[in-house]
Amino acid sequence: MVAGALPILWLSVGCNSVLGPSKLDNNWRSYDSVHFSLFVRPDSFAEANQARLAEVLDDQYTTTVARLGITYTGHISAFLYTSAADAALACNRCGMGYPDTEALRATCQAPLDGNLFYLLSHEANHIIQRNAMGRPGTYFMNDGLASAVISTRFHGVGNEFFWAWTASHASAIPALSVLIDDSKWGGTDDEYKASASFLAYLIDRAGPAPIRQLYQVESRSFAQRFNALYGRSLEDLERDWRAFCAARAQM
Amino acid sequence: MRWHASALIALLVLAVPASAQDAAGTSAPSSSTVTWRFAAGKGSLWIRDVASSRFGRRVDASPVSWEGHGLVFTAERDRGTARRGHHLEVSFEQSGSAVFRTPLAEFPRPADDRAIRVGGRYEYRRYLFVDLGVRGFDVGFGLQGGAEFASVTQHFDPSLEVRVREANLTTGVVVAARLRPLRRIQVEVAWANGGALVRTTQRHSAAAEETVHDWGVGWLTDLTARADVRVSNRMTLFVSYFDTGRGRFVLLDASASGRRRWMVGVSHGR
Repeated sequence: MVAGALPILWLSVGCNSVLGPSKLDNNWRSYDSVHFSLFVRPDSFAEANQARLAEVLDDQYTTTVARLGITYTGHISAFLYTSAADAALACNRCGMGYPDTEALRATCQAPLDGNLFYLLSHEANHIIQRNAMGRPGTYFMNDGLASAVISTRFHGVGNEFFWAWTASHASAIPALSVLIDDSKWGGTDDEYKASASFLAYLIDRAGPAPIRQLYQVESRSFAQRFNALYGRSLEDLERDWRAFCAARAQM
Repeated sequence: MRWHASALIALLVLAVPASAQDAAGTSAPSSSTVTWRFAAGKGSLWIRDVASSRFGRRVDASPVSWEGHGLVFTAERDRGTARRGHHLEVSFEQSGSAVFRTPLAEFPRPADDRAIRVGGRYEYRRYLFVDLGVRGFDVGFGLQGGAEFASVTQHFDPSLEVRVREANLTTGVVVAARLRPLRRIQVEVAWANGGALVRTTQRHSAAAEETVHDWGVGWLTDLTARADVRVSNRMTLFVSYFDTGRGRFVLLDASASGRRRWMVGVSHGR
C-alpha cells in the first residue's frame, strides 16, 4: 500500500521536491583560517569556539597532507550546525564531507572535546583525500582512511586510541575480508574504528605509498591488489595487526 | 514502483482518448503536420554533491554549489495533429565562468572549470481534454524517453583535474497544458517527472586508477514553458523557459543538479 503510494506522491509533488536537496539558508557568519572558511550560526557554540576549531582543522589539514604524501592546497568551507535537526543529519555528533564542492557539514555542540575535534577532522579528511587521490573504491577505505591519519596534537582520538580499542574489542571486530566487502558494509562505529586501526597500522609499517595505490581498488579485486602491493596476504597482515594491537595493550 | 504509476498513466493516455475527444468538441484539425523549431539562449547549471550517500539513507546535499553559465542551442521537430503528437528534441549546452556559491558569497573557480551536455529526447503526447472549461485551453499527458551525455571538469589547487562524464538514459511521465487566448498566440507548459539509468566515468589527474566507472540511478523533474506568436502562415516566433532538477545515486558519488535556460527561437511549419 505504502510502496504503491510512493510513486504517486513523487509524481504529484515532483520527484525533485521529494528527492532533491534543501534550499540554502543564509543565517551564517564566516571566519577564515589558513585552509578553512568556518560557517557558524550567529551566537552559537561553534561561533564562540571558532578560533580553536580553526586551529584544530588547520593542524589536521597539514597532518593529512604530510602523512599521506599527497598534494592538495584547496580551501574548504566547513558548515557547523547547532544540532542534528539543524544539519539534517542523523545525530548530534555527525558530519558529511562534500569533496566536489570542497565543503563539509557537521553538528557542533558542547563539550569542546576530542570527539568533536575528531568528527570535524574526519570530515575534512574526506575532502582532502578524495580531491587528492580520486574516488575511493570501498567504504572501508573511504571511512577508514579519513580516521587513520587523525592528528593527536589537540586530543587523543588517534592511532594509539584505535589500536587500544582493537585490542579490547578483538573478538567483536569482523574479519578484514568482510570489512573490505562493500555489500557487507553497514557503516557502524565498530567498522569505522577497525578500518582506521588497520589502515593506521599499514601506514605506520609501510608508509603511505601502497595506501595511495590501494585507495581506489574495489572490493572484488582488493585482496589481490593488497597482496601485490604489500607482498603478503590480507589475512597474514590482519594477524600481524591484531597481534601488534594486543602487544601494545600489554605495554 | 515508479513503473506502476507510469503504466497507469500510459493506460490512461491510450484508453481515454475516444470518449474524451467526443466530449471535448471538434475544433482541432485532424491532418498531420510537421513543425521545426530552432532556438538559442542562455543557460545556467548548478551541482551540489551528496558525497557518499547510500541507498535508503537520504543525505542532504552540500551547502555549497558549483555554478556555471553559458549558451544553449536546441532543435525540435513536432509531428502530429492538434490532439496528439510526436516530439523530437536535441539540445547542446555548455557552461563556464564557474563559481562556488556559498550562502554568503560566491568565489570564482579556475577559468577552465566547465561543463557540456548533449541530449536527445522523444515524447509522445496526447491532449485528452480539449477546450477544458475555457475555449482554447487543453490538457494532455505524455510519455518521454531520452539519452544524455554530460561532462563536468573541475580543478582543485594546486593542479588537480577531475573530470566526470555521465551518460543517462531517462524516462518520464509528462503533464501538459496549453492555452490559445488568441488565434496567433499560444502558451504551453509541460511538467515531466521520471527516472534515469546512469553510467559515470571519473578521471582524476593524480589518482592511481586514473579512470573509474560506475552505474547508478537517478531522477528528474523538468518544467518547460513556451509562448508562441505566429507571425505568418508558416512562421512562429517563440520564447521558452526550461528548469530541471536532477539527481543521481552512484556509489560514493551521489549528486544533485539543476539547469535553467531562457531561449528565443523560430519555428517553421503549419
